[in-house]
Amino acid sequence: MKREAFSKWLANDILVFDGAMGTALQQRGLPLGVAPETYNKTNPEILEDIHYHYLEAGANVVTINTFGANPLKFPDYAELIKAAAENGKCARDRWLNNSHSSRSIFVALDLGPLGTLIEPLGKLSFDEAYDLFKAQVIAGEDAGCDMIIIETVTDLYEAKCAILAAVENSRLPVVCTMSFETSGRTFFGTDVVSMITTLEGLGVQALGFNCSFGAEEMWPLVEVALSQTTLPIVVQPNAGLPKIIEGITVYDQPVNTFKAVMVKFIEKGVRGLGGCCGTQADHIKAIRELVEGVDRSHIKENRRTPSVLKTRVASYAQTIEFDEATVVIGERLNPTGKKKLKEALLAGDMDYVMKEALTQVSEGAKVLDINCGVPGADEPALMKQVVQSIQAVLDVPLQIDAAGAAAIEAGARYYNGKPLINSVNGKRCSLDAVLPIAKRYGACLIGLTLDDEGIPSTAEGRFAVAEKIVNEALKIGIPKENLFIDCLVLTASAQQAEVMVTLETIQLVKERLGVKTVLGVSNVSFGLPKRGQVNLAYLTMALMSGLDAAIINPGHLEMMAAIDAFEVLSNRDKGAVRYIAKHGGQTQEVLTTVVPSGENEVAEQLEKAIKSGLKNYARELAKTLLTYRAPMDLVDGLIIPTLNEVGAAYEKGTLFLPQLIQAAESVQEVFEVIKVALASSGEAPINRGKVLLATVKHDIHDIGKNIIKVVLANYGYQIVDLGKDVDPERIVSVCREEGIHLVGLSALMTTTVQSMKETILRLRESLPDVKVAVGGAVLSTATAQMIGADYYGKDAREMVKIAESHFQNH
Amino acid sequence: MISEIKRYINAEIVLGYLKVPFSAADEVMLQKANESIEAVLNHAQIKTVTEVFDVSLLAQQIDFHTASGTATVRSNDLAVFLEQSNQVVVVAVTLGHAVSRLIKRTLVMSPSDAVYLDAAASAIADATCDYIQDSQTASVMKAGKFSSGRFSPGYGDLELSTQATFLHLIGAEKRIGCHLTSAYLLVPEKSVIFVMGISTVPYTGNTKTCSGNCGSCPMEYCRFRRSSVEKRSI
Repeated sequence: MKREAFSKWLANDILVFDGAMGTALQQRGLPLGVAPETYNKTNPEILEDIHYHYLEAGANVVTINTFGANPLKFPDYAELIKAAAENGKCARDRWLNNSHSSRSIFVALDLGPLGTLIEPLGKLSFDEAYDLFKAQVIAGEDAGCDMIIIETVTDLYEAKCAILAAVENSRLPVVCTMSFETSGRTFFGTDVVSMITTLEGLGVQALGFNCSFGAEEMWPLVEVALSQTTLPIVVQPNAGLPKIIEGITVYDQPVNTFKAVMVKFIEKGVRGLGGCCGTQADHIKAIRELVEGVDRSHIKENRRTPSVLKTRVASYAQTIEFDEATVVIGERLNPTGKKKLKEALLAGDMDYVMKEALTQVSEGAKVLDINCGVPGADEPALMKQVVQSIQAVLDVPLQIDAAGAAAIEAGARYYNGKPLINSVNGKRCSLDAVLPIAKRYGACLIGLTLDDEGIPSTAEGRFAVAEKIVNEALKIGIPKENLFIDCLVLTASAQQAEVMVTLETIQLVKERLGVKTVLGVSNVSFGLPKRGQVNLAYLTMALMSGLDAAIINPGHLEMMAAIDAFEVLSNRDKGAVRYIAKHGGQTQEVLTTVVPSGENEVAEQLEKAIKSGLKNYARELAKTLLTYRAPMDLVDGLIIPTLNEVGAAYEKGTLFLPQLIQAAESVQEVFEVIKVALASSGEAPINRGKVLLATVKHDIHDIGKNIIKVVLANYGYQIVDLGKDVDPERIVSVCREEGIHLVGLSALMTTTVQSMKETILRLRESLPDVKVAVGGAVLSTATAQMIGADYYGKDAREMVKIAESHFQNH
Repeated sequence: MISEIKRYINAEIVLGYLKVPFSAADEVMLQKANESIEAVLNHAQIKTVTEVFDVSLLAQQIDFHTASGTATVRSNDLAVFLEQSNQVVVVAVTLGHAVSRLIKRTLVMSPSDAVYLDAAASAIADATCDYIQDSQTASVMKAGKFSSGRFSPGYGDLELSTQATFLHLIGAEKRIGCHLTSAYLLVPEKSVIFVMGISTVPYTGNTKTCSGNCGSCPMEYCRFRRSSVEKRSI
């Protein structure tokens, strides 16, 4: 059955899934330590018997025994899948022959989690995971399966990956169920709304929940899901909560208790019911009895239509709706006109990018715009890297901003959530390239009101482009609630007459098309003095015209405050609750630290500020001191001696690790000021030498390495940080490519010291001139010598000494 | 459970992880340590699995018996540690992924704060183990039996790879979301697996946990209780 036919079937009927496979196999003698999938070939009669019992009980779905049959676990996965499908089909044929039933039966390929975590938590890349699922999907379709069930997934990224593999590599209907905790989130932090928002647009025919707990505990999740999507909802709860008896997990909820909740599920509109751990044929029989008692015409009447189809984007753990309040989209991760961001992107400096992302979120951005359009960069690869870096630490939804389809696709595909794509326009080539991407990934999409003729000068002209974009999007199946129009603001200094046209177009789009609007506001002030105040006025005018989302700098306090005030005045922030929470009790910022006058006084204060870890004060003092001293005089005459003093106190035990790092952080702030001063005076940037740092292969503990990085950077060393769990070959190749002669390796576990030894060996073989310093909790001078290291850095301070001595001698 | 765990954690313990003597800590450090405890507890999704298995102790080998078969762990040190145990409690504890993300995020903006958070998270993971161990000890005592201290893979000759066996035995992957890397390290990072023995006779030697002070012991019905000591209620 094709996907469309399956959806139609599901719209008019209720699908009864089968029950637990593991429980049934254990009851039939599966020994501890034997992989259930091996039974597909060794004990086919047992599998056929299990399937037959579930069919006899009333199941529509024969879920074959392929939960873990992936190429990572089984080199013969294809044979196991083939055998499993044969077992399922044999049971189906035998039962149909015996029963003469006309019931629709679906033999379903079962895809469980891969058993290995996907990046950034694990080593497996998204593409590798995709290939593993793809291999299973192809084997399943070849083996004659009728549908695919992706189940018991707790990582939303893995669910997305599996769905894409299933949808893109087969024509089979796809159902995906995830496992949640009673907290309403998965182990990875995903909530029900973010799961629905992310997965519903990926081409699945049904979504739902399985495992974790019993039907009663599953009900709150189902209730949320039913109110959030028009997709059919599937439930497969366990037979109650697990108990451990004699070392094995037992589920002993009586069938009647299970059945009582299933009644509620059916009444509320759940379209697929079955069981997970502990459920047996009796549970499925109970479901079948309930389903047979349902009036089919009632099912049709009971079709769910959420009262409002919502415009929303989501990360793995947070959904932002555009219907409730004006949404601020942070604009600062766009390298246009930002030299430092451009350099960071080109250098792959993700720390800088993440810092900018985190700062914008702390300032109030609800969505972050990501643009990687740097000349000379591989934009799709960079987009992937930035998206994956940000989603590793932040749960704010992302806006994928690129001109080229390849970069847009990279962002949408590797994003762990439902993104907002920025943008498509009215040109045929743009529509043809971008609309299918938005459709494929279920993304929201911004349409720009420009076409081959440029930006129309009238509101009607721009509206016509907007209408064309909306119609073309609807034609290929992008729902209206996923669409935004950017009516494009021009600069008041050059095209003053058209500034109001943008606002008129916003009104037309809102009234006639009913889609959301978004605007990059700050362009309006280009070329004018005091741009902030022009932007502020225009933002307020746009909000009054019906703007739903503003792409602005969230660091602009007045603009952020204007939006907050607008929400109150437009009666959307009921009772001014959000406004009062944010602005109530706020007082004028008091300057607690005053920059003194006089060179010596400032220098003295700066030294104290560094030692005390007063970052902001240190920065201000450094600015003042630079009016007296040359940048390098400041570095050599004050900063390095102060850091040395701090380091000596640390060695003596009168000062401790947090204080050492705080001092380093203050110096980091000072260095930012010095870098600007060096650049403006045309002097070369500070570089005392390049050091490669890495936590060795198999080790995932990297806090120590990160401390070293901060401290070394503040002594002026250029750090190439390869992260954690780093392959020796990569260390060798980066050293070779970048001409690095000092490597710092870190390992926390005794077991990974072996990886350290291997890395040193590889470096010795390929690059004998490279010196290696090692550090980490399990190392000592003796261990360092034993594994062939040149230096042992017992702490950050020691590593600084090693670097100083190394670069003096080399 | 959080309120119970809070009893096992304070700023002094966190500073201890940072090798800062409590006497040397200034107000800022104390405040940072306390704030880190709160932040970690706010982000933590603390989950634990605790299961008791019948065991057979052989030379350098412990067999864990379940209804569907036997799992074997090889380690001389663990076998010696467990002495005459006839049962073993296997425990897995995790603070969840959100804590790891919090530390990573903070590392970007303020490494010094991240160091406090990392220390607090490690201390809270250990505090959770302390709490589980004490709860188990209390329940074992109520049953008139004795419990050993705790032992984790990675100590002595108990290979880290045994974490896979323990994880599988108690279904920790499915039940609390603990995974292993290819080098047998636990993910989420702030997770711990440990075992403790249960015996019908007091432990001796290095594993000794019974103080021999029957006067202060709540085990009213202990068959090893000195007859001269009056029974006291639990």
